[in-house]
Amino acid sequence: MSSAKRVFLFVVISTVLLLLLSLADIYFSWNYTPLQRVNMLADVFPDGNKTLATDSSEAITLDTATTPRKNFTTNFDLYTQANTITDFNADTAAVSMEQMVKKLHRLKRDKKGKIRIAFFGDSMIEADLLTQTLRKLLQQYFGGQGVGYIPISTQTYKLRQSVVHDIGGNWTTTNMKSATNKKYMYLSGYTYTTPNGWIQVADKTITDTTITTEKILLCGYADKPVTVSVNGKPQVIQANQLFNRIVLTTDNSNKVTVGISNASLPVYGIAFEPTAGVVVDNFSFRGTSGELLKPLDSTFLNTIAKENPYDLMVFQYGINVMFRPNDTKFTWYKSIFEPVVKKFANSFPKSNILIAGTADRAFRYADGYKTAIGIDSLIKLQAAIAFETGSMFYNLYATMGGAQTIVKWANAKPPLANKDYVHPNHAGAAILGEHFFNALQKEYDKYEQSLH
Amino acid sequence: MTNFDITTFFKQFLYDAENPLLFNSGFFVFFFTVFIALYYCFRNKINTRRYIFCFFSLYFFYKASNEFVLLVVVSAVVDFVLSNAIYRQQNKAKKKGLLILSIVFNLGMLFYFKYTNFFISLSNDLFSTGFNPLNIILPIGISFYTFENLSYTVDVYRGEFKPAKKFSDYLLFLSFFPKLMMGPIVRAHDFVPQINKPYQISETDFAKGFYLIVSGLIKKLIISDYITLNFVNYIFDDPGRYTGIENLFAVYGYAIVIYCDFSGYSDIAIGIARWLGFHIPTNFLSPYQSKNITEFWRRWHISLSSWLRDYLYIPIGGNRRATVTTWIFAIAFFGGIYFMCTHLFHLSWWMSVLCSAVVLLIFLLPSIINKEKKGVSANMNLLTTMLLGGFWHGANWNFIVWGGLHGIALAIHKVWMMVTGKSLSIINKRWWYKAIMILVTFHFVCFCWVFFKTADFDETNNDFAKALTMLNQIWNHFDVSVWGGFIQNYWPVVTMMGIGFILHALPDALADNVINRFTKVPLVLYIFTFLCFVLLYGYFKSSEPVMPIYLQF
Repeated sequence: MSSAKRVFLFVVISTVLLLLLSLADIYFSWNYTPLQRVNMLADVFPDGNKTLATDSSEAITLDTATTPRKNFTTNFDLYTQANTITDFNADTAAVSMEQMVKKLHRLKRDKKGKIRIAFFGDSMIEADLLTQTLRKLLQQYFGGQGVGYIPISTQTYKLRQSVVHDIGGNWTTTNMKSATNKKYMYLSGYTYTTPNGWIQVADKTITDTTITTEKILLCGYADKPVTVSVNGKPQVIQANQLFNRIVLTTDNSNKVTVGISNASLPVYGIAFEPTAGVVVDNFSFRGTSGELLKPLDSTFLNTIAKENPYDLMVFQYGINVMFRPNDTKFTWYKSIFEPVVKKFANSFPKSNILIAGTADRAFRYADGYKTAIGIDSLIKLQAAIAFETGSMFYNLYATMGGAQTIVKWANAKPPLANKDYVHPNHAGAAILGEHFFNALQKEYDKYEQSLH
Repeated sequence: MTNFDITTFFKQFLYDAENPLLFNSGFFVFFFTVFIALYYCFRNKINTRRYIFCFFSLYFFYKASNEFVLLVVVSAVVDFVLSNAIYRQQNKAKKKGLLILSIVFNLGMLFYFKYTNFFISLSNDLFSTGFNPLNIILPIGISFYTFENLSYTVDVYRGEFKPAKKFSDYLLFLSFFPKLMMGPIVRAHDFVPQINKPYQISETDFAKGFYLIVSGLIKKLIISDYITLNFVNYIFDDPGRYTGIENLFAVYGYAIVIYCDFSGYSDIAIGIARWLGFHIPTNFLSPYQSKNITEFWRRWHISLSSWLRDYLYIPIGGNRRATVTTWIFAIAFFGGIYFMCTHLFHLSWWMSVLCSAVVLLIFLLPSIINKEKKGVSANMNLLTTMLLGGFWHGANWNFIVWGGLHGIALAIHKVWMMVTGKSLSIINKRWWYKAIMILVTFHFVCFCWVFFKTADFDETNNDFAKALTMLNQIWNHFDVSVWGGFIQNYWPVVTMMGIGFILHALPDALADNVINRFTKVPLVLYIFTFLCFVLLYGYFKSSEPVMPIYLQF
């Protein structure tokens, strides 16, 4: 007998069995995921087997009693708004970040002074992503040039597009994860030492070489004067504070080469800053949610605040808080991150603090790549931290487009995000930078209008 | 339990851009069941059976690619008419004219859909023409059925094959649904005679077909998809973020992914065909077991490499002579190497000339050693074939580079054989020598995959830079110290890769031996195995994803 009949019987019987299993799964709601995933009738019985968690919200109670607020009525729900930097003032016509906006106004008017922004984040802003766009737009509008802080070396320092960066000699890197003493690790989370190293950086953002920029060495304490070489010439520096900001040269060049041969000097990095204008420092540390900044010493932070007085500090975290697809409760995060924000608020009393909510992140669920089911819960929690610490809040997730944005971005042609459905690529990060600039600009415009 | 949605039910029968029909679609199970029931009922009515087959094939194509089904029908009509005209035509010149018409039609269609934008951007880069890229969607399977059309008319022209008399014979040859989207590329003289044979298959056919289908599904849907989604995609998307060791494993991972994906699809197609009474030759023969690159090409995508040999390599001169095509491509290739050295690697002009000369020497060496001119043409023809073979995979420079690298490797292997053939004759049968050669060949193939995978069919992306970043990470930032963390995070992926390589390492004849040993296995056991597979598939589809982590700070 030909086995054709067996083919026929095999196919028909298998299909009938699969159909029966699919029907039974829908009818009895077995909730056995592998079966649900191959349910052949899932399409024609919609909602029959959704596997998404039903309760993704978390009860968050706001601690308004201890909240350091000015005299205005607050509205917590403002955190949901896209394209907005809110200080939770119910009167949305009022300017948030007034202190910083006023300073921006003076800078624009008088072309004098510096506005410093410290932008903290994780791998999402690694290699100057987002910040390079933000910096460019701010400097175009308010003036200034220079790329700001540059670490000596990170995993991706070669991929940074805003600088051409090269190092040589023996550099020892310690970071917030590996160090035993984390008190003086600097805002980037990194410290470097070298007996014979050099670093050469060309700042690609400097296009106008008629304007001078400062080339600055950022370092820790050394008990004796240290001789460094700057563009080949020896220079003696005094690093007698916990944190030192030493201007090595102020010139028209977009390049500097610094040689260091003293292993007892903790080096934090170098910086390119305008003599007047906007400075945006990128402090990215992989895999962190901000908790790594906690061990930094308060006196050390005070010294940084004195030497490098930041007007605005942005904390952009979240994708590493949602590191598991099914998490919906994040109160643990509040207990580790809120103390960090408070510490920074105390150490940098003159800075405005802005917490940016998490960006969109997707996981592969039963029905494909979807925005993390706990995202709303996390954003609310981040907003609560902002609310309770008297900080401002910026809803990055809503601004970038809300649910499924990262999936659309990763699948776009050309793509705007990586296929890990977490990291926007250069093109995507540029959009985020632009959004952020627009949100700042909105507050600035409000202030300008209030003057007329 | 919710209600049956009648609108959605009817919509299932229409093309859905979000869910085109694939072998793993739920719809395919119904499609195949209805088809097999009709095919079986009308098995003795040859004509009806063929019409049913044609209809289902075209419907499959419609569900997979919407209006492009018309393209298959149009090209079938044109080639059917032309091939019959070629066959009847006695006048040699006219016969040739008709053949050229067929080649121009087929290649023109392929060129328009696949390569227009590539050449537009090339022209914009070279001559600053500023043309806008066109909004052209690549029709599924066009690369495959165009080649089948071409081989058909060429065979008829060469007098090797009498063209199909009935249009439906030809249409079925072209649109045969199991192989429509990803091959294998079948030849008319093998396939057409099987169309109207009585539907009779042996128990071995049933068992082998079952084995091919299920193992193909496991390769494609479980192994390949799992490694791609949980590892390979992350790393290839942004190689600079990861250490060399992760990048290297991503390349190994991709090697198994592309093999499982491609050979899995081929196996399913061959298995289904076998159940329907058609024998399609095998397309992959454990290619990573190859001891040299020449052997690799005898084992990898066999239907393509033999097609290229018969319809490209031999017509442009084969190992006998050089033609205009040979020289055009050879000159373009060496010009390309010079251009790459100066622009990509920023070498000085004399270093670039030197590099090109060294590569040229590789191609000339066999003839110099043997003191015969013919060898040069053979090598250049092989190079041309590999370059065009690379380009066939997609309109991207990376594929050309991939083809070029394989072309150079084939030439080097030739030289190696000449130089070492005698001196190594004592050791080249030893197991350890073979093992070393397998490893060397595998790593070279992997090296080329880096270029292949980083081409993502998007001319706005700088794919070449991505490939170089990846190689740079592997070479300069390998970092063995992250091994512990790597294994801890990615152990499910590494295990899956291990399973893939073990399956691949099994001797080629093992499955056949097992099938031959067992006589008739009860049908229940087959059904049980299949249902187990379905649940396994469901399990992996719903498994928690492995997330990328950073191993180094």
